[in-house]
Amino acid sequence: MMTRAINPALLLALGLAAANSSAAAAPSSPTLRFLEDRVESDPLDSAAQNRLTILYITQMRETGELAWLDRAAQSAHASLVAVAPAQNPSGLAALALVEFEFHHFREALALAQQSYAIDARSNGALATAGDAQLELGNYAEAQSIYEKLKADGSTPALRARLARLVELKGDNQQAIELLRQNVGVPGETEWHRIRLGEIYFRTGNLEKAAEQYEAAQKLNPESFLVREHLAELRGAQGKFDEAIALYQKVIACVPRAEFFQALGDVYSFVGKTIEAKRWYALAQDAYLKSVEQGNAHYYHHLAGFYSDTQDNPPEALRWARKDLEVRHSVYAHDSLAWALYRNGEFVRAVEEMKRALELGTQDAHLLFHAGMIFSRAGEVERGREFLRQALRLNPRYNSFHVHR
Amino acid sequence: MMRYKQPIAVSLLAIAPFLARASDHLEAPLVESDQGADIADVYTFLDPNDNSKVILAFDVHGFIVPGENGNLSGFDKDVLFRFNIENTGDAAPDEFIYVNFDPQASRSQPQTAHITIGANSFTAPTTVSSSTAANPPAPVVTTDAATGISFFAGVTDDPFFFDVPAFNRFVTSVLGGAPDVSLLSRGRDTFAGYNIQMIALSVPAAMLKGSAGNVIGVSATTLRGRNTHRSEDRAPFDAGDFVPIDRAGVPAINTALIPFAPKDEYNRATTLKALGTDDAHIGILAGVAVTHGDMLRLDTSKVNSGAQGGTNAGAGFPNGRRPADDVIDTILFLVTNGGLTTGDHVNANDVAFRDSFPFFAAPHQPLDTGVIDDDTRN
Repeated sequence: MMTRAINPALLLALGLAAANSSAAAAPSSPTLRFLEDRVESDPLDSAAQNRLTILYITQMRETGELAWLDRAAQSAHASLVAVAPAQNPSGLAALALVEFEFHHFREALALAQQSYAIDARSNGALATAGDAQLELGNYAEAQSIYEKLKADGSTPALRARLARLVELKGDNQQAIELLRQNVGVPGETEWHRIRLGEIYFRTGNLEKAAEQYEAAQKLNPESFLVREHLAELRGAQGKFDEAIALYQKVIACVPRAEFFQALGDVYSFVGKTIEAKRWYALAQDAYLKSVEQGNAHYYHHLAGFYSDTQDNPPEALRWARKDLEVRHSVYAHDSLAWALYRNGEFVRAVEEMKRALELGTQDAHLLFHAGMIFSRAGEVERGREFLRQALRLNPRYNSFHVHR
Repeated sequence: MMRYKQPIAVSLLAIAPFLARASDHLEAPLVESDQGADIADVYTFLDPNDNSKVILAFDVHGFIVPGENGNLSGFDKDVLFRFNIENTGDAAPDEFIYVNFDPQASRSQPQTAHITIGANSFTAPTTVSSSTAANPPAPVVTTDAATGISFFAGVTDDPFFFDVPAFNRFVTSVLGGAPDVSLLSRGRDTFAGYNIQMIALSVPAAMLKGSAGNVIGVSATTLRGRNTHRSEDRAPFDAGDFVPIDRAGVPAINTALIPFAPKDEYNRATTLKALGTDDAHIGILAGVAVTHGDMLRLDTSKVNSGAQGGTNAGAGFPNGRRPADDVIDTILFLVTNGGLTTGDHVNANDVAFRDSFPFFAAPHQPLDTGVIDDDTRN
C-alpha cells in the first residue's frame, strides 16, 4: 500500500513495504470495523461517518500512517453530503479536525467556528478553533478559547493545550506542572508522558526526560512516538548505537521522512557521513513526494532540512516562506529567520527573529538561532546574551537533538 | 449530554489523545469529554406486570459496539449517578436516589453497586458483559428485601430508536422552504446494533410519591468529585464536593426538538417558528419540557400494560417514558402542528425489549465472521 509520503519503490528498497502495508489496509479495532460496515450499509448515516472520521484520525496518530487521514477526509465529506452543514455541526467539527491534521489551519478554523456557531454546546469544535488559532499564531485568541473551555471544567486534554500555550509563552515550569496533573489519571496514555518528557529534554534534564519516556513505554511498549523520543534521548546521552537501533525500529513501522532525517542526523553527529547522506537522500525524497501530493505537513521540516543538513539556503528560504503562508507561529517565524540567516540576509533575519521571540518562548533552539542571527547582524552583545540564555536554559543543548 | 450531540461527542471522547509529530507544532489531544458520565436517555414508567412499582432508568456511555462490550462494560467508579425525584408539584427535586460503583477488579467480575434512597441503602452486583460470547449474559437483578427495590446495572442494547440523518435531512428541507416528508421514509434506526451502559431500578411507587399525589417528576444527573487526588501509592481518585457533569430528563428537548438552538431553552421557539410550529403546539411542547422543569412526568394512576414495558395507549410519553414509546414520532407530530402522523418510520427498537424487569434488551453480541445483520451491520 502506498503511503502519502513515501514512494513505494523506495519502501521496497528499504524492505519496509510489508510493515507499512498494514496500517491503512485493515481496520484494527472492533469499533472501526463496525462503523465501516455501518456506513457501507448506510452511507447517509452521518453519525457513523462522523465517528469514523475521528477514529481514522486516531489511527493516523497511533500508527503515523498518513493514509488514514485521506479516509478521515472521505468520511467527513460523506457526512456533510448526507446531511447539510446547517443541520450537521458534528460533521463540520469532524471536517475541521481533518483540515487541522492536514495543516490547513485557516480552513480548520473556519469550519470549527461554523460548527460552534450552529451548536454552541460543541466543545470539540471550540477546541479545534483554539488549536487552529494557536497554529496560526493568534495566541490571544487561542488563550481566550481555552479559558472558555476551562469554564466547563479542566480536563487532561485542556491541560495539555494550556501547557503548550504557557510553554510557548516561556513558562516551561508551569507547562510541566500542568502536564504533571495528567500523570496517572484514568485512561492515561503515553502521550502526556511524552509531552512531559519532551519539556524536560528541551531544558536539559535528560534524567527526568528518561523517566517520563520510560513510563510512557510501559503504557504503550509499541508506540512509535515513544521510541522516536527515546531515540533522540539516547542520542543526547551519547548512546548512539541505541539511538540508531531505535530509529531503525521506528522506521520499520513508520517510514516517514522526518525519521529518515533524524537517523541521518545521528549518523552525521557521530561522523558517519556516508550513512548520513544515504538517509538524508531518503528523507528528501520522502519530503518532496509528500509535498508533491499536496500535503503541507513538511514545509517546516523542509526549511530546516535545507538549512541544516543540505546547505541549500535558497531552498530553505522557499520552504520557510511556504510554511509561513500556512501559519504564523513562533516556529514558522523562527524557521524563516534561520533560512534568511543562512542566505546571508542578516538584517531581515533579525526582523523575523524578533517576531519569533515576541511571545517570550524559552527554547534553547530558538535562542541559539537568535544568538547567531543577532551576532551576524552586528548586535554582537545581544547575540551573545541569547547564546548565554540558550545555555542557561539547556546546558546540554549541544548534545544530539532532533530538528522537529 | 444531549442526545443529538452524541454521535460526534461520544466518538471524540472515546479516543485517547495522541501526538503526531509531522512538524514542530503540537497536535493537541482530540477533545475528550466525560463518556462515563454522559447521559443518553431517561426512562420512567410503571411496571406493566405490577403497577405499584415504578421503573426508573437512565443510560450512559452510548455507542458501544458489540466487540467492545467487555472493554467498555465497567461503570466509572468516580461518577455518582443520581435519580432526581420531584413529588411536590414544582420544578425542584425533592428526593434523590444515588448509585455508585466500586472499581472494576477485572472484566470478568461484576462491580458492586451501592444504592441509596433516603435512609435505606443496599449493594448489588452488576451484570458482566462479554465481547466474545455468542450469547448475551442473563441480567442480574437484585431485590432489596427491606425496601422492595430491585436493581439492575449492565450493558444493554441502546433502547433509543430514531433515524437521525433522515430527521436532519427533513429539517433541512423544511428550513429550505420545501418540506420533503419522503426523506423520513428510510426507516433506519441510527442506534441499531449499539449497546449502552444502563442503570435501572424498580421502586415501589409509594416510596416516590409526595404531596403532588400521583404525579412524580423524574430526571437524572451524573456528578463527580470536584477535585482529583493523586499520590505516589494509589491510583488517582475524585473527592470533594460533587459537581454535576450531565443532566437529562425529557427527550423532546434534547433529541430533536431544537437540534441546535442556543442553550437558553426559551429560545427554542425561534427554531420551532422556523419549522412552522404554531403557538398552540409550542405551548404543548413547552408544557412538556419547561413548565415543571426538564423532568419526565409520570402519572402513576394511569394504568400501564402490555409487553416490552408497556404499550397501551395514553400511558406512555409524554406521560413518563417507556422503552417502546416512539418519542420522536410524538415530537414530529407536535412540531408539525399535528400534520405529520407518520413520524420517522422507525417505529420500534431494532430488538424487542424484555417483558419483565429490567425491560431493556440484552446487549448485542458480535456476530460470527461473515454473518451480517443488514439492520445493524453488527
